[in-house]
Parts: sequence; C-alpha cells; structure tokens
Amino acid sequence: MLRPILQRLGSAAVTLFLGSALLFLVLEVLPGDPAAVMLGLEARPDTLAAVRAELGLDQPALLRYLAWVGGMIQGDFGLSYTYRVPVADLIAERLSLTVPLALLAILISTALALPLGTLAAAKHGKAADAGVMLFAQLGVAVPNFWIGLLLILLFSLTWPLFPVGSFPGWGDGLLPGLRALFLPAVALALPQAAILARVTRAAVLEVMGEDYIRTARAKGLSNRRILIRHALRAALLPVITILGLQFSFLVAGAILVENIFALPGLGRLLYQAMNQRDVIVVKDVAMLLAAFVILVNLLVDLAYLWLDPRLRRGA
Amino acid sequence: MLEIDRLTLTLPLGRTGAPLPVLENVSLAVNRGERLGIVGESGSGKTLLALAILGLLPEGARAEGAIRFDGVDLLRRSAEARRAYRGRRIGMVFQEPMTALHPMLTIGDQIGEGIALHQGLRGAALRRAVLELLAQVRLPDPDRQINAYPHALSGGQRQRVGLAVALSGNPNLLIADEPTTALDATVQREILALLRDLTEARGLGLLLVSHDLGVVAHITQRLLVLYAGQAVETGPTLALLEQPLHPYLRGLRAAVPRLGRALTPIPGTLPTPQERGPGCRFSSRCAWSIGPCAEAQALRPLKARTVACWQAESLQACQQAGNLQACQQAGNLQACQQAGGLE
Repeated sequence: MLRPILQRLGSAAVTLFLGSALLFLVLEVLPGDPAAVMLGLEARPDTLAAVRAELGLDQPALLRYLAWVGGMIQGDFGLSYTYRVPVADLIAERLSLTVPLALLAILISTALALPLGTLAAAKHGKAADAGVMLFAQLGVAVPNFWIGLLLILLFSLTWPLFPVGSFPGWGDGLLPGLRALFLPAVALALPQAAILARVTRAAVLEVMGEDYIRTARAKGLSNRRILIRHALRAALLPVITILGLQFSFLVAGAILVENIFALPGLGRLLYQAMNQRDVIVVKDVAMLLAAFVILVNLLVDLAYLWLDPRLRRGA
Repeated sequence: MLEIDRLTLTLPLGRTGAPLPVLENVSLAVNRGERLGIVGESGSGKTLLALAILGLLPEGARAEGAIRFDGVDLLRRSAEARRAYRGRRIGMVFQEPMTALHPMLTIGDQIGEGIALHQGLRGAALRRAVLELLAQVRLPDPDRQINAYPHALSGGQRQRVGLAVALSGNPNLLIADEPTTALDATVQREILALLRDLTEARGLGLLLVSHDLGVVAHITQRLLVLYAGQAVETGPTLALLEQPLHPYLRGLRAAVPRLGRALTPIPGTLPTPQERGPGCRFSSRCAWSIGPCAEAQALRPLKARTVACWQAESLQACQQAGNLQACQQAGNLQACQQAGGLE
C-alpha cells in the first residue's frame, strides 16, 4: 500500500517541477519588460537599469528561476511590481474567496451529477433519462459566464435573493459568505455537472452489463441496492477521473466568473496582474493554480487506490 | 420442486428485431436432493434456460409455457415477486469466477450481503455465518480470507466464494452454469466434489449446466441433452452415456477426449436461431440422416428415457447387434433392425 502512494507522490513532484520550469520559460520568452512598464516609455536608461537590478532582472535566467522556486518553497513569493506588497499577502487574501468558491462549485456539481447520472442510467431509455440528457446537452452547450449573467439577472436583479458584486468575507460567520458565493458557484458548477452527469450515466450503464451485477441480481438484492452499492461504486472510477480533469477547467472558469460577479478572488487577481504586466504576480498565481491542479490529480490517484483494491499492489 | 413445462423462449434476434425461438418446448423437473445435468454446445440455449428460471433474462426476451417452483408458476409472477425467489429459494453459481465477483468488495461483504438480506443476520452473528459458509465451501484460512478482495484469490478459490454467495440465501435449488469450465482439471474435480457433497448434505436440488459430458457424468443422476434449443434426449445419466440413442449424443460421446483413442469431432456447427428450419436440427450434421429427418422430431418415450429421433430404435438395434459401423457405411439401419431384432 505504501509503495503505490510513494510512486504517485513522486510523479506529482516531477509534474510540479516541469510545470514550474515551463511557466518560467513561457513568461521569459513573452515580450514586455516589467521595468519598462513600471517606469513608462520616457524612462532614462540608468533608472531603467537600476530598477532592473532592484527587481533582479539583470541576473541570468537560471539563477532567477532557482531564486523564484526557492523563495516559493519557503513561502516568499516576492514583491508585486505594481502594488509593492508581498505577493504572498495578495494571494492569501484572495484564496479565502477562491478556494471556498471552487469547493462549493465542485460540491454542487457532484451533488447534481451523481444522482442525475445514476437516475438516467437506471431509467435508461425512459422519460427521466431523456430529461437528464437534455439538461446535460444544454449544460454543455451554454458557457458558464452566460449562465452567470443570467443568474445575476434572475436572482439578484429580478428577485433579489442573492447579493452581487460584493463579498463580505468570513468575519460575520459562514452564511453571508456562502450566500455571496452561491450564484457564482452555480454558474461554475452547471456546465461541469452536465458533463459529469453524462459520464456517470455512461459509466453506470457500462457497469450494469458486468457479470458481477448479474451475480448481485441472482443474490436477490433490490435494484436500488444493486445500483448504489454495486454499480455506482465501480462507476466512480471514471467519474472521479473526469472530476479531476474538470478541476483545471474550474480554475479557468473561476477567472471569468469572478470577473462577472466582481469578486476579489484569485482569478480576478490574475486577470488584473496580466493587464498590468505584473509578471511576478502572474507567475506566482499561475504556479499556485498549477499546484492546485496537480494536488487534485494526486488526490484522484489516491482515491483510486482507496476505491480499487486491485491497484493497491503497486505497478 | 422445480418443474418446467414446455418452456419456449424467444429473443429479438431476427431481422428488424423479430422474435426468434432460442428454446422450444423444453420440459424438465428437479426434486429436492436430485441432480439434473443439462448438456449442449455453446448456443444450444442452456444458459438462457438457467437465467429464465431466475428471471434474469436479457431485455426483449419472452418466455412461454410454465416454470413452476413448488407449484407456483414463476412466469405469472411480478418482477418483485420473482426477486423473492432469487437467492432465497434458488441460488446460482456462474461460469466465470474471475468476473462474477465484484472487484471492489471483500468476499466477506459479498457473501454477508446475501446472508443479511435473506437470514436477517447482523454484526458478529453475520460474521460468524460468513465464516461458517466459507468453511463449508472449504476455502482455506477463512479468518483471513474473509477480508480479501477477489483478485487476491485463485480461480478455484473464487469459485468456492461464488458457491458460498449462491448458498448465502440458504436456497433449495442450486443452478450451476458451467461452474468448472474456467478451472484447471484438478481444481475442477475438487469443485465438482464440493458441489455434490454440499447438495447432498443440504438436500438441495441441483441443475448443472455444462457442455462437458465428463462433468455431468461425475455428479448428476439424470440428464437432459439440448440441441439448438430443443431437448433431444433425456433419461438416467449412466444409461444415456453408456448407450446414447440420439445421434447427437452419440457424437458428443465420441468427441470426449480419452487416452488411447482418436477423438471424433462432430462435423459442422450448431445452426444459429436464424438458420433453424422445421425438421430435425441435427440432420445436417448427422451420419444417419435420411427421409423423415425433414419433419419435426418430438421427444417420445423409449424404455427409461425419451428421445427425439425417429431412428432411435434402429440405432439401438444396430448397437446391440454390434455392427453399427457397418450399418452406418451401408446407410441402412432398418436392415439391421430386422436382422438384430428389437426385443
């Protein structure tokens, strides 16, 4: 059991390293000198050189890469070029919004998709199945920012059930914060739930044809128990895989949705930093998001081990 | 206990899903403590027969006739009423021990689930009952194996677990569909011995489905031979195997590998449901096929058994006269019958 876990930890570490190197390279090749952006077009060459030296931009690329990675590992994310404050502080503030938003979105998405997908598989070919598939088709076709706009229009303007454009923080307890995050989370969750419901339906349908499902029937178990305890358990493997993949889309979606709902989250920070050529913030936030995605995929791998005893012996 | 009366089964196999019969007018009976073998090639309909008894037929299948269990016609019962028979009255062991068990549940869970459902046991009592059952199917080291997943077990051990699952509802009838086909020869013998011992000890009826005459010869008392969805010969196992009367059973008999004797395969292949005509379905592969073979052959009694071949008496006579081979070459069984005489 320990060996396969170590294997997966090792591969996550390698991915993390490759991701950081790639990110650094890409931002290195991109045009735009942060010092020039900070000082404007009229800057004198010696001021420019001084600022470049202050930012460490005159160092060789390899040294700067090592300094960046080394700093991140120690929690030192550098100073923002535009705000002149530690990037770590900027990020920490935004994380308290984006992480709950992402978790809430995943929660809503799975809470919708698993029952709907299983129901569609159980009622294969009947009206309930067609209904779920129609919902899934719509959810896949409609982009999340459009759903976001629609939700604002309906539930903040027409019926003012949820606030929009403000985030109260977590100081006043859980409820006000969750209320502010609910609509954006739904906007993020719906397209994902649509895909996930389809995957769940297909996976459950496939599993229902397996020999061990026939054995369960021959045992005299009820359809409900066969569906939930036997079929869904086996179908969870592909579902979790897709869930892990969807997380990276969730991160990308958060950038759009946070902007639409005017939420001061990580996505909005990244968006603003890109506009301001605040390369260090872009680099750090992107790296952090990459690390999240890698972490989630590691969790998916570990969930595999937990779910499927056949994998526990190690490759 | 189990009585099947002229069961006809159709599947939507025809063009544009038209129903085609895969089983026709099959009748059989199994009493408590009795072991019946059903023999036939792949495609003869024997697995569907087993699934029909449990009510687990594939979608689109239609059954006519009657399947009576203790007098109740199961075909006239609702799906929910039929579920009450599965596990509790009728247990089933499947062919593939590799795929018939859930890969993500421990064997203890899979057996315990049946015991909990049918016998209402929970907690420590349930665990004791599972261990007891594992000991009965002679799984080594049950205390440890109860927490094992199927992939950690050998094929023979998995089939023991499959048997324990089938027995978990304490049924009166056990259906075993090719229970030893996927196993090594030595393990086969052990599983067959186990099947025989368990059915004897518990007074169970056994319906053993197999394509292997050696397997049914081992443990069944009576035999039903299926060919292309029809019963062609039934009777006591020993008598049928010692003196097969239907040419198909004769062919099967000759196709059993034995040391020091050349194996004689039956020429041709089983006709698919789409290819089946009105006459005797074996005639295209039969060495004695002439004349009336083009007409349907019904099972009729002959001594202690029933046969569906109009030449059965002639065959028997030739066999007794000891010149079956010569008669076959001359293509003239009637002559033999007159010469040898039928007592």
